[in-house]
Amino acid sequence: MYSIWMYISYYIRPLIKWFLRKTTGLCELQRICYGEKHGSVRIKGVENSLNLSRCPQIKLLVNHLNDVCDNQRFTASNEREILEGATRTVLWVKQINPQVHLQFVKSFSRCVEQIWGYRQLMTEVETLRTTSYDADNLDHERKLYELWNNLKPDEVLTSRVSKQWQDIGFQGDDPKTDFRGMGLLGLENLLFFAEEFKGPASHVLSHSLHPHYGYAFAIVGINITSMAWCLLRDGNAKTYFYNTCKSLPNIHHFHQFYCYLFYEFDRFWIECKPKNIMEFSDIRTKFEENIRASLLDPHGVFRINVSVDTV
Amino acid sequence: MSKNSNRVIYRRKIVLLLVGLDNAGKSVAVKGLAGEPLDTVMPTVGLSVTYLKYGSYSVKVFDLGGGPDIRGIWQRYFVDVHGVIFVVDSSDYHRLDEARDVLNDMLSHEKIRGKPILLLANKQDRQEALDELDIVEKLELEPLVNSRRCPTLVETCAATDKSRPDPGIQKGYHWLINFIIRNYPVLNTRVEQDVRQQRLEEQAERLEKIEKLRKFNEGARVDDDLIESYSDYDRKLNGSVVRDDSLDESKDIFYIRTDYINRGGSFSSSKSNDSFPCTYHTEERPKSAVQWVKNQLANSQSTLPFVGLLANKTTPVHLYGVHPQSASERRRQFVGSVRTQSAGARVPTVDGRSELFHLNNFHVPGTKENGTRWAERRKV
Repeated sequence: MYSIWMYISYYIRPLIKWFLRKTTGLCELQRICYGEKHGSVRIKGVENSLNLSRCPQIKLLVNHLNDVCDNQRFTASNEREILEGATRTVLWVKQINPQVHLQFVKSFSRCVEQIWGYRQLMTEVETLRTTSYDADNLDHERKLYELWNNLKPDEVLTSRVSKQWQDIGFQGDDPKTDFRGMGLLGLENLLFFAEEFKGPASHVLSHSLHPHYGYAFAIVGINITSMAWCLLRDGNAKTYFYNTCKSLPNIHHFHQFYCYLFYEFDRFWIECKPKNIMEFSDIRTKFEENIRASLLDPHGVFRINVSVDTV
Repeated sequence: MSKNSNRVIYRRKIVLLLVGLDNAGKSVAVKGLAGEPLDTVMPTVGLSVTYLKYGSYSVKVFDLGGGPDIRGIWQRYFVDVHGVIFVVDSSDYHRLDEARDVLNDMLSHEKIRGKPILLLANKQDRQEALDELDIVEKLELEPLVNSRRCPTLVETCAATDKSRPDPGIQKGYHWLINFIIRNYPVLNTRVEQDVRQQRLEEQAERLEKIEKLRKFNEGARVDDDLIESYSDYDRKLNGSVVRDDSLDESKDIFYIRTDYINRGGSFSSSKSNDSFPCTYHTEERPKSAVQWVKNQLANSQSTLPFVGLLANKTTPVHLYGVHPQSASERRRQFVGSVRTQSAGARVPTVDGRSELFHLNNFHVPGTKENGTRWAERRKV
């Protein structure tokens, strides 16, 4: 069934495109850029259109951009150059006059920025994830200490290997083993949450110490990292990133996404009133379903709602 | 229907418990058995359940988290299981003593006694790993399992090995399952019995709790609005719940003494209640402030509109009597007064003869009629 549909759409699509092109005088990319507001709908449309394109130049362009992003060379310094190149290629291929369609040039390059920024973000996150925590690396150790200082500003860590780590929800005396699976990404996520969202983080931490509904803050945080990573990898998180990012998506945007997830998860957990920690995986699955459902809404934007913070 | 059920049933169930210290490699071991990818295994929070198949048996593995705070909950799962897999990190010898204590605690539990144990000495791929003999010695396994009559097999393995599934785990797993299958009738009746018993116990416990709650509620049958006195609260906070006797005498209950208000003087919040209606006549002493206010309202305004609908119990009482002004009403009043001011300056009130007259004559002083509106004036 699916293959038949693919077959039909493979032949019908160009026909429709040709027809619309002749009647409106605009190519598909223009129609998308003019027809939709900036946001996930437009960017996803452009992405889809570019990926389905059968024009050799466009294919070459897509491959080139993919290559750039997979090697993480899409940086702020050469961003302008890359965007200009991409836009010029499309203008040339589609025979668009940039003087007339100035608006298209602008909105198209913004779309390109988001699409390949997201792709690069995936690579960046994956690199962090596969970097495992190394106790000999001073940088990693410093981050770990910073995490402690941010979460427990009033308490001094007595030693590197200490029972105190269990207060913030690590399993053993030495947190390094708990970063397995998510590597440095888990640590960076937690650190960002504790640093940039001090209020919500301490709020969540205090919830995690609740006598009935408590949970292990850090390892739950690492589980949330895996959820965020899965959403990013599956492309479900595109809605969020395309709607929120104002510039080239970078790791900070991912951290913010994570913070939102963690904060919301905490609320969801408390609302569920679990009997004990054994219900974690069920609640986690349910929460992930909710998030996936809300990401299907093309206008969804997540913000941490800190209104309950004073509780 | 019967045909269908004949086909579906008789997949007998085996339940295994997978425990060990944190970071021993439990989740990796079970994922290896299930053939799932190993690279994203994280610390298990709570438990994760894995379903496997073994011949005509369906195997359910409870993979419990190994953190110290969670070990207390392990024993709730002891009744359900037919066998136990205990995973030890053989390279982490600082924690072997801890592992021994945990294992000892678990085997001492009566629900585990006699059930088969598979001990996996994991992480053999590491250089510093101890071999199985050392592990057995370190854990003092022999006397332990002999005293508990648990059939035990020790296997070495390296769960993250690339050539997965690891042969050690496989071998151990087959042994464990085969042992359970051989003794299935005995083990299963025991498990079923235990489960039934636990259910009964839980039920009894729940009933007891409900009974307790009922008794408590009966003893302390008080108004919801009753304000808890500080001493009562303090006592509750410090653990010794002696609510019943304090309530009987009701000496600690905070209540409002009406004479203060009648005098209108020294009552602390009397300032805000200047117009407080003091028509409290009933004989009985009020149980709480809110009740008192309710009585007040019932006495003073018998035709109060929608008292029941006013959900906010903290609304100042004097607001109940006054009918709230709607926004439009207020606006009309305001506009009216403004208009009459400006218009009144122009309009001679005496006659209202013609509009022409007052339009031209701006300086005729008018006597203001408060609240009269221009439109009405025009009608005249």
